[in-house]
Amino acid sequence: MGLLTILKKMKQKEKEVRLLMLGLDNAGKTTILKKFNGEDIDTISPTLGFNIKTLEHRGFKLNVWDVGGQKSLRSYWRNYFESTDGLIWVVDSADRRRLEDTKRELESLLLEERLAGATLLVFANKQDLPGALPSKEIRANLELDNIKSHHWLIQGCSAVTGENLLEGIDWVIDDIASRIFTMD
Amino acid sequence: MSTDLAKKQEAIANRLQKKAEESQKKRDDRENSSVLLEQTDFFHSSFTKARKEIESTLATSDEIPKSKLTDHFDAMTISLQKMKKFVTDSSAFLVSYDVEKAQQALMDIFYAVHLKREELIPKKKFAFKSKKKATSEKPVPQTQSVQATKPKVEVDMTDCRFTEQSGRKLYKDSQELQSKDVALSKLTDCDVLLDGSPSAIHISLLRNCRIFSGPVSSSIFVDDCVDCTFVLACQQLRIHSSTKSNFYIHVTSKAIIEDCQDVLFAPFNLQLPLMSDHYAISGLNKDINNWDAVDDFNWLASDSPSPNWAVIPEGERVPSWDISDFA
Repeated sequence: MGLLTILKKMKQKEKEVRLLMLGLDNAGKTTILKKFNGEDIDTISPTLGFNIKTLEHRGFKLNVWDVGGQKSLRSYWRNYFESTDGLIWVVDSADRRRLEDTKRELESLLLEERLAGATLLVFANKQDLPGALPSKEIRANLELDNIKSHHWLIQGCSAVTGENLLEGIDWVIDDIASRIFTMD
Repeated sequence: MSTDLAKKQEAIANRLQKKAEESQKKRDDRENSSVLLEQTDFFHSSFTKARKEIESTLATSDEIPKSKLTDHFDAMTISLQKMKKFVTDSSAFLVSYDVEKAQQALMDIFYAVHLKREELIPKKKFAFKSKKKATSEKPVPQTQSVQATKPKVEVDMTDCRFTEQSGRKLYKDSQELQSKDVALSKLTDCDVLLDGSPSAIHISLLRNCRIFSGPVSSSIFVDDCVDCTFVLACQQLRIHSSTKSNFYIHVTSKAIIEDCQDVLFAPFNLQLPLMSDHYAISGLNKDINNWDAVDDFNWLASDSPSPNWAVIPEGERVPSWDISDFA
C-alpha cells in the first residue's frame, strides 16, 4: 500500500460521522430518519431490529443507526454504542405518561462509557401535535441541565412536517466536527 | 540412494533457512520493541513533564493579579490542548491502557483548571452557547454527570382526554378531535366513541372498556388494558402489556404487540356517518389493511406463530357496532 493510498483512506475516513438514534418506541426515530432522507413516511412500521442509512450532508458522510425502541429491544442498544460520534435521543413530546421512562433510559445511556465522547442531541419530536409539551418543558422534565458529561442540545421538531430536523442535525455535525476534524 | 541423499540435503537446507529466518525475525522484533519502548518512554516523560508544568502553573493561580488571570488560564488551556493533541498523535504506538490513562489524567487536569477558573473568574460562566469555550472546558468527570435532585415537574395529560371515569359513555365529535392527540387513561367499564379523525391516541390502564375511533393519521399506543374491545383505524398500532382484549383494526403499516397475552384481531368494521370524510382528513389509505400482520416483539421465531395473539374466526366476530346511544 503506497503512501497515496493511505492518505486517500484517511481522507475518506475523515469526514465520516456515526450517529446513533435511540429513544422509546413510538418516539418517531424511523420517521425522522426517513423524512430527513426524503423518503415516504406513510408506510413505516414499528421497527423490529434496526435501520441503517448512509447520507451525504454538507460534505459529511453520515452513518445513521436507528435502533428499535420497544422494551424488548432496549437491551440490544448496547451493541450499537461502539465508536458513536453523536447520540440522537428522540422523545415523543405528546407521550406525557412515559416522560419518566424516557428520562431514566437516557440517564443510563449517559453513564455508558462507550458513549462518553458523544455529542447529545435531544429531539423533542411531534411538536405538530397540539398536546405536545414544548421543548422547554421536556428539557426540565428530563433534567437536561444536569448533564455536564456531554455537549447537548434540545431541539423541538416534527418528523411529520420536517420542521427543525435540519437544524438539529446541523448542530450535531458542527459540534462533532469541532471536536474531531479541527484538531490541527 | 542418491535421491535419499538429495532429500536429506534439501531438508537440512530448509531447516537452516528456517533457523535464519527465525533469528532474523527475533532480531526484528527486538528492534521494533526497543523502538516502541523508546517511543513509549519518550511519551511518558514528555507527558509527565507537561503535566507537572501545568500543575505548578495552576498552583500559582492564587498569586496572579486579577488583570492577568484570563491570560493565565488561557495559556493553561492552550497547553492542555497541545497535550491532548500529543496524546492523540501518540495513540498510534501506545497501548490502549496508556492512552486511556493519559486521557483520564488530562480530564482531571482539565477539570481542576476549570474549577480554579470558576473560582477566580466567577463571572465567566460556563456557557453552552460559546462552542469554543465549551470544547476546551468540557471534560467534567463522568461520575458527576447525572444527578436527579430537582423536584419533578408535574405533567398533566393532554387537554383532549378522558381519564378516571367508570361506567360512562364518553363521546367526542370531529371538531374536538380534528388533528388532536387524544389521551384515554384509567377508565373502567366505559364506552368511548371518538367520532372524527384525531392525529394520535395514547391509551392506558383501561379495564373492561370499549373504544371506537375514526381513522387516526399516525399512531395509536395502547398500554396495560384488560378485557377491552378496540375498534380502530390508524397507520401504526403498538399494544403493550395488555391481555384478554379484542382489536378490530385497520392498520396501513403494521400492528405490534409486546408483553401481551390473549389478544385477538379482526378487520375494522365500524360505520360512522362521516367516515369517508374522516378518512380523507387522516390521509389513511382505505385499500391497505394489514390487520392480521401482527409482529410480536416477544416472539421472534419466524417458523412458528406467536401463541400470544390470534385471529378471531369469521363466525365469531361482532358483525356491527351499535353506536346510536352515544351523546
